[in-house]
Amino acid sequence: MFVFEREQYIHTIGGVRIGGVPGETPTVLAGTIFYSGDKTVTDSKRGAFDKKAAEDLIHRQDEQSALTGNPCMVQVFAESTPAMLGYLGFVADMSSAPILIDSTEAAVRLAGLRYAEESGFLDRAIYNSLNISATQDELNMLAELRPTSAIVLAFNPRDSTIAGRRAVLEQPQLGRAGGLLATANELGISKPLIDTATTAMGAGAGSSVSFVMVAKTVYGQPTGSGIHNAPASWAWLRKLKKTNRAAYEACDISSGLLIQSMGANFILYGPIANSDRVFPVIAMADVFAAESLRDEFGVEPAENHPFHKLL
Amino acid sequence: MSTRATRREWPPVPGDFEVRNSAGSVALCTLGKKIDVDAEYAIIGTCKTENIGIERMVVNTISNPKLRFFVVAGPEVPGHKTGSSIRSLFAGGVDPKTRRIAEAEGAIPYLENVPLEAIDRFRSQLELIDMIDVVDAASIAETVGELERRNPGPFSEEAMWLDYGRRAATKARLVTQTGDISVIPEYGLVLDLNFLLLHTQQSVVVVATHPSRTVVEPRAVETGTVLFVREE
Repeated sequence: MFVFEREQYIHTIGGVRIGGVPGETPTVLAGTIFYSGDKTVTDSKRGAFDKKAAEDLIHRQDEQSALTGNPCMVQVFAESTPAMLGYLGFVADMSSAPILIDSTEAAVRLAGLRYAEESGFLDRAIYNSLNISATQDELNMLAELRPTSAIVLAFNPRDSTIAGRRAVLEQPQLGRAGGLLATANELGISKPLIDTATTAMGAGAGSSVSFVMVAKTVYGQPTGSGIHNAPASWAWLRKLKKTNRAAYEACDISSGLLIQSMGANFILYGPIANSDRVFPVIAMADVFAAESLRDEFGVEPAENHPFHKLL
Repeated sequence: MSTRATRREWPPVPGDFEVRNSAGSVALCTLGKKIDVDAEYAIIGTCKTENIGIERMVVNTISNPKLRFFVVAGPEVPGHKTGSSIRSLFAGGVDPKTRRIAEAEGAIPYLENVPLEAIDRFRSQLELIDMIDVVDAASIAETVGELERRNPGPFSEEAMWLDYGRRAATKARLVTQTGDISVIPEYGLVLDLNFLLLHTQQSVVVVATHPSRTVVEPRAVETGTVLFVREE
């Protein structure tokens, strides 16, 4: 498909290789579990959930990963600290995949990170996310816990263009000395994963896709996003969903192809229950990319790449 | 950024909402959950994010001076704390420098894409009716009914319309100019007048132009032809 002039870094997180040029390493796919509205959750404050249903979902994603060759990660979302600790303990036991620790509350994310450290799986924990709203307290805690990997979110509420997203990553923001990438480096986050920050369609979604290619060109770091959030919040599509659910699902599932074709290394594809539909679509595009890279550039895809497993 | 006009279609910004009675005085936000409320409100909709979501709501309310009450109901949005961010917005507005909603608990509560005058207008025109975490449709409907009965009439100023989300296209116009002289067009051979050198003209695809150019350039290599992405 294409190669970048700048060196592309490949990080290994919990045994999963993530990064590189399209076709070189398979796209890593992360399904989310225990999110707001997840039917497996019965009490989001306490973290009560249907263990059998959650186990099935995690195993199904593992199976899809084994089938296609696309590595997987589990994104754990929690609203409260008790819930986060319970969820993480369960997921860490169920799967050996890297785990994204996600909450919109910093205290909950940090509690999850500390739990990962104490439970011995910090090496496969990914803090989600380091973003523009980080407080000094949060940075102090991250400096203490020293995760090696984090999502670095290029969300700029002031400017959704590519320039705005770059500014958040590169330039001092809100009184801090450096951009988010410099901050991540200072905190010892040696394996940053750049999330281009999907914004709503009509509010910068297009730039969030283009920025995948630009970010990889400029920084060389593994890049991706939760692009499915754009069609999922698209008012027109949500109305259509009432009469044509298949169309909604097609848009939701295929949206990953947009960033994949820009060189994305990871896709936060949304509900983990969609794994059986997402993995084949992304694997298909990976095969195209690998074939192009091999035939035109002489780079052999990785051993477990969908190109080898599915052709 | 802001304009005042009379001939516009309301609401100006699309979203996850429904208009029932545009002459009504109540705007009803049910946060992260759709709630079927049987009442004579003007507009009902969800709002999930504490930044862009609130911005869109502001744009859609200040463009209708008949709206005087802003009911926030439905379950609080976890993490985003959109409901309490709206409450904070009414209470303290935004910091003029950082654009952060004062004292907001949400994850990223910044309103960057609406002018301060629009935020002031929002806070002046509308009265907040705090029903965060109330999900009972009948209770909400009853409140809406009570509010309609004490409708104070339209706001004293005319509708405020914002060109929200529409970026001027001038920056996006791409004009490529070179001083090269085409020598053999069939082969793309050109004479570079700066250096008086013959070279093959390269066509590139431009991905971004600001703050630097990122281009995709077809390049022949030993093994084949690849698209080469680089920053200029």
